[in-house]
Amino acid sequence: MPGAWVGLALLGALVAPVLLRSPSHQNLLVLTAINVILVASLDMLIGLSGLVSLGHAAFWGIGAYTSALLVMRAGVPFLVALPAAGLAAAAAGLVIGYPSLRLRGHYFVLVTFIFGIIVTLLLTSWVELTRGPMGLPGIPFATLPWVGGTEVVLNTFQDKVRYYYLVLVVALLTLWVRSRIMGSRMGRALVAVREDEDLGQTLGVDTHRYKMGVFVLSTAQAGLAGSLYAHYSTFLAPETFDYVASFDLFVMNLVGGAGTPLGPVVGPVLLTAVRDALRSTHPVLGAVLFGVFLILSIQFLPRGVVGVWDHLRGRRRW
Amino acid sequence: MGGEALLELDRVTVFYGRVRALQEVSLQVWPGEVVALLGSNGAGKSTALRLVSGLVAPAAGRVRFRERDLVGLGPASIVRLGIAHCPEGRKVFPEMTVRENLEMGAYTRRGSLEADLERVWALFPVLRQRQHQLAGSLSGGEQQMLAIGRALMARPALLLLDEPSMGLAPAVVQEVARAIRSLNASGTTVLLVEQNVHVALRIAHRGYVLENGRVVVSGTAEELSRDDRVRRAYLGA
Repeated sequence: MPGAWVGLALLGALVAPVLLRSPSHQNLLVLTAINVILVASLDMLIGLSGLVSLGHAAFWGIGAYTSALLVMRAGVPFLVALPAAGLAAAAAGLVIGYPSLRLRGHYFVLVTFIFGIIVTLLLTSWVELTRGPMGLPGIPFATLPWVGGTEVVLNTFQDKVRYYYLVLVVALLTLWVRSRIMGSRMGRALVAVREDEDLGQTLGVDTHRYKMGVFVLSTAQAGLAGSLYAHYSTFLAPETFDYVASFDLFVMNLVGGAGTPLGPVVGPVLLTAVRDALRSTHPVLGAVLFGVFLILSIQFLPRGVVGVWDHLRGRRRW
Repeated sequence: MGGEALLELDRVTVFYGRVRALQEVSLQVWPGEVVALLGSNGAGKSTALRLVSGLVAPAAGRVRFRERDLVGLGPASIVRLGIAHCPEGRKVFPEMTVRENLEMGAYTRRGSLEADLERVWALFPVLRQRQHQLAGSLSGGEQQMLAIGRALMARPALLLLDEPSMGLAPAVVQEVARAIRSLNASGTTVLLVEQNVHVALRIAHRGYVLENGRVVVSGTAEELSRDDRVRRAYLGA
């Protein structure tokens, strides 16, 4: 692993809010860090295990709505709602993963895609709970209990820096878990699943168990990202978590470099920044150029931006 | 032969959907033997190996290894009991190195692998030189050696070999055949599926000929190479 690059990226992430002081830039930083959590967790499925999920945003949405509703309707503190969001998404992952991970290839992709559509439909039609297409406004900001008895509000519309660091910590933990798994016995088993699942079984690898494990872990992390998003944006709408969002995460994963150490950082940073730059300069032309950029990168960079770099340096992916 | 069979199939029937792949097949493998399963494409040879390693379940009959029933155990437990399966088509993990592929062969057990690696290097010296190369960059023959070596890493008492000579150059076939005899001489029992009957009958002590999922002839290698049906169908005599 290119240690110097990891250090540089970490340093950049730490000083970014000091250098970028405008609220709109800091907003991009928080959203990018949330996307890093989502893409890093998705990459454990796609890059490491070869399990292409096109429903990752649905688990993100389950976490977001769980956390928002727990805080708003049940008065649960943010610090409890955050892990609860992870658990709710993981429970959904367990229910969806158990049958669908026995399917191979396209069938698994289809099940995750359809699951994403079902979740969007549920969020839209269960109006009593989610307010449906009107969206869920007025979600409280994240707060931390303080020793003196008063609560500390982590973020406001004006001040995003503290919240950015909270999201960054979760993002770093997600990346750390991912790299630990990649170097482990479980990681080896999942690479075997990616390369030749039948052969892995022949060698005595319990492939279904490991696929379940990585899927539940990945969906739990998406749920955490959901909670972090809900108490940041303070407004949720079903279409934020629809199949287009899932596809976006998939594209960030591919463009950054699936299965590469820094791919899940490079993809979100690049796409969030590029898209914003294009959008603010020329919205229509920007959207077209963005599409062209995506097609070109998928056509010519099968392992993403990081993959090109590794290729030039003669490295392979994990 | 006295004592207990290492592996015994007792009137086993296997279906793939509605197709009967094996029909009341019975066979025994004794400790120390090399046993060949012969027959044409679709005769059920590979199915028999997949049955033993737990990848397919029988509709009827029993599979016993060291007098223990294997049916329903699942591939991981069966590998732990001492059966390693080297599937056909010289399957390797192309994006893992040679060494990582070998380590995958020992997935079901923990502890040092050095002695096992040494054993594989001794059998196939070319793999030691290529240990840090990606398996996908090896030649066909080297991939077959790697696949056999990887199966050996599980320290099997019984090695299931599916078509080890398929698609290999004659010189490489000789090398693989020599390796199979050598690992058998050092105590590994082998159940071998081969379409190349010449090679199979030179390596094996005994053989069974399958046709349409049934055993039609069985006997020692010598008896089989004299059998008229075998000679006409497979040896071109």
